Amino acid sequence: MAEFGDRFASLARTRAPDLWREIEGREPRDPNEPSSPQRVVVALVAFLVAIAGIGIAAVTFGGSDRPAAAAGGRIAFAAVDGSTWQIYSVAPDGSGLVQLTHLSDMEVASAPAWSPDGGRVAFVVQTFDETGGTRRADIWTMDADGSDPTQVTHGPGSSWSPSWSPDGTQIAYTRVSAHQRDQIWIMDSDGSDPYAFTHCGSECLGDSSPSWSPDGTRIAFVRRTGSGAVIPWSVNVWPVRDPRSLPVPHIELDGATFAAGLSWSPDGSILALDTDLDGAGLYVVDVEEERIRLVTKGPALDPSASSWSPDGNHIVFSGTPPGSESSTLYVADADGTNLRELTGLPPNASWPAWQPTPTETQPEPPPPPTDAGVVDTFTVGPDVRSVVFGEGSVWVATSNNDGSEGGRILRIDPETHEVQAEIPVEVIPTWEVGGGAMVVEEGSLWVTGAIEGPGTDGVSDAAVIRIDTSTNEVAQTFDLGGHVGADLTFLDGDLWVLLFGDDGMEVVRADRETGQLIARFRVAANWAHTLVATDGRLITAVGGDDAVNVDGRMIQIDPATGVVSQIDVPTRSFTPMPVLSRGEVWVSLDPGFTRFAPLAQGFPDPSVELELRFSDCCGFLEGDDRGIWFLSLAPNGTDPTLNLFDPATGDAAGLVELDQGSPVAMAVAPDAVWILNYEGTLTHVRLG
Amino acid sequence: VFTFPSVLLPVKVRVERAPAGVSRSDEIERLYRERGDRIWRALLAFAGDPEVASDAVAEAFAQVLRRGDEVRDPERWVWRAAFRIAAGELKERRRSGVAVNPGSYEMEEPARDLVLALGALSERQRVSVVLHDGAGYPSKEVARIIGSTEAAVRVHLMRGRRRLRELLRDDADG
Repeated sequence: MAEFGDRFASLARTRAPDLWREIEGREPRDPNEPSSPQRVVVALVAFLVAIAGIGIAAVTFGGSDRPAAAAGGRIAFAAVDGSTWQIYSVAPDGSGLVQLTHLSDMEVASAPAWSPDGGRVAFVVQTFDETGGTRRADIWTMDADGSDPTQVTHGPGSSWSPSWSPDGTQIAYTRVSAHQRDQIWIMDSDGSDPYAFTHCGSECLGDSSPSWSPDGTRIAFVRRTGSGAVIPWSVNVWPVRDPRSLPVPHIELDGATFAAGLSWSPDGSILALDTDLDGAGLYVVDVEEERIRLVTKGPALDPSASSWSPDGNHIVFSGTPPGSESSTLYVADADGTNLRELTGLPPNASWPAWQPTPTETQPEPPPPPTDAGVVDTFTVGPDVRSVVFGEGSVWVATSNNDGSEGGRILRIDPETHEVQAEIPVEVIPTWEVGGGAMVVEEGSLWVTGAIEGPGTDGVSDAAVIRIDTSTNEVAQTFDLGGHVGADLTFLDGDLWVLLFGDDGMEVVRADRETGQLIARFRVAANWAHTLVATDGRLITAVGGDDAVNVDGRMIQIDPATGVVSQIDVPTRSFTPMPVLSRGEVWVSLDPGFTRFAPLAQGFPDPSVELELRFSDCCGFLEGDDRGIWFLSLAPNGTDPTLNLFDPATGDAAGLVELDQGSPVAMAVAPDAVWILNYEGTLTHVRLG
Repeated sequence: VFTFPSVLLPVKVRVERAPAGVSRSDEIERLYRERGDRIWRALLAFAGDPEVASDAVAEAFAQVLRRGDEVRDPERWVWRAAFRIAAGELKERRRSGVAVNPGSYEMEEPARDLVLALGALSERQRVSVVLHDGAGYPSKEVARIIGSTEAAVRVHLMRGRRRLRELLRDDADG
């Protein structure tokens, strides 16, 4: 039954008037009348927020202050040097103008775009033949000071609107050719390996203005369509990996007669856009909400082509002051306020592009421990399930050992090994091979597992409990349906739980405050045990039909698009597991590791093979900035050893042999590793 | 009663089923007789105002009547046009400061609460909830009617329902 069914049923009893007579006699309104409501699209109008008059105010005060000097980076733009358009750069406060190109008057430069490290500029050079009639445009790149200009496209057709991938290896652009509608293409940044990213089909009149998202996963572009009731202009955001995999954000621009100049904010949440939706102006699109709002407009200013400061706090755009026929550049705060003109620029300044601040070099990873030793192995209780370290304590989950779903969470002092608290819980990690399913975060211990179902049929529901670590009491219990929770993590402020559902695995997104389900993602697999979140993605490894010895697969979920993609693991692997180290996802291959690279088309990185055999399928693996901690077994399946794998070198070092117990789970603390054993014991390994 | 079919009949099937000799205007009138009340109630739920609903429904049907065979799928066209017309009218009213509310139109209390709560949703959330939860259209069909994607509709539905739940719970508590 549909939600709110009773209330809709009540509505259904509301008597509707008979309008037929009015319909027959009614003269329909002119649908082409501009103010006619028929031209209004439901989605957009509600969100248009016009900040009227700002354009005039800007000119009044323009040029008096020197804003955004601290915003970093220079601003590249195109302007006229007297005979043709050249590329220039200038500091955000308007100082230090430099001309970067010196083209002949048979050429025109436009559309500069910075490489992500701020070291090079891609731009378009449009050339004319002797008659000045026909033209072709190609993409060039040059260093930030204008040196080393290099042509990267060479026709056929023209190439426009370059936008770099965040890793700097590729450029998305608009390709225009005689036999094809305009489409978005992607090439390597040296011009090699071009391929069509969009396919402009029968109702499509052309794609243009690509903008690569800061996280590298998506490309936004403008599409023009031309059939019947379809709104002609739209902003589309497609995943880079598989452009045909829907769903994707699609924002219609009803009433627009043009749209161009898409530019992502550095945090990837909104796109600036140059269109005339509700009068010419600078608009931004909230990508997730699929809504659009006006930042600034003004009949005289006619703002266009914009770019964000690296910190996302400012935006630069070109506009034309009242009484002038020449555009110049303006810098404003991201909300459109505090608008200032950059004075002293050459005429017709356009296409501003704000230079990214070079990314800071990663801090050196903490040094690996110089020595390690077993402090003690002590009994914690029967049927132990998982261990985690946090809030200065070691947390161990044990069952009631009587077949029921509940158990106890033990809070253990890492120094004295005393049990500080014994918390009876309805939910403990249920996975019999141990590990995972517990996360300590911000004063809470989160645990997922199963909770007794409401009936007596023995069917459980997947559930999450939150224990308040200040009181050592269960503060919340969320019943998530399905059957058994396997692991949990946090992303975008929400709780994400990997669980065994009615029909295979699922990942559910829930509100961390209320447990309210926000979304469910089906994962076509019989099992999966570990869920990691990184770079705005969720990654899990799954197995197929054969639960014993499988060709594991990796599953990636993009919460922004809802796209669930599957990537095969390169070698036959017993239960591959994802693990995070130094911000990267690695996958265990047993024996060995491979890196799950961002935007990986499969696994391009070679696997690192190790001679050490892992001790167990899943509870053996923990990652931090020092590397990946894992337990190995001797070939005869005995003598577990604690090892540290260094992702930078591919080497694994044995740290200490564990002479007692059969490890099932592991927790890593700054100065210790805690290993939980099937025998119901906990081994304390000190790191020196 | 306000129970919509779970799926719209594809237009080809519907046209083929039309008896020989039935003119387009007869077909439109039959569409109005069969669906008009439902569309009107959905528009009432969407717009929160019986006047806006009546105007939008009448205008949408009047337009499809005049367009004749130009419209391939009259039912979907009427749904979409009526929502657009209502959205336009709501925008005009906001601009001119005219209040939108169910007024004294006769309806049961739960229905009135629902309509008032729906008014607090964004327009796209509202149209998604009304078409999906009220009219029973699957999200794919909702996407077709309102010219959006199925994924976007699901997001609007999810957020809209969450908001609606909060509002109606507060209402029940209060």
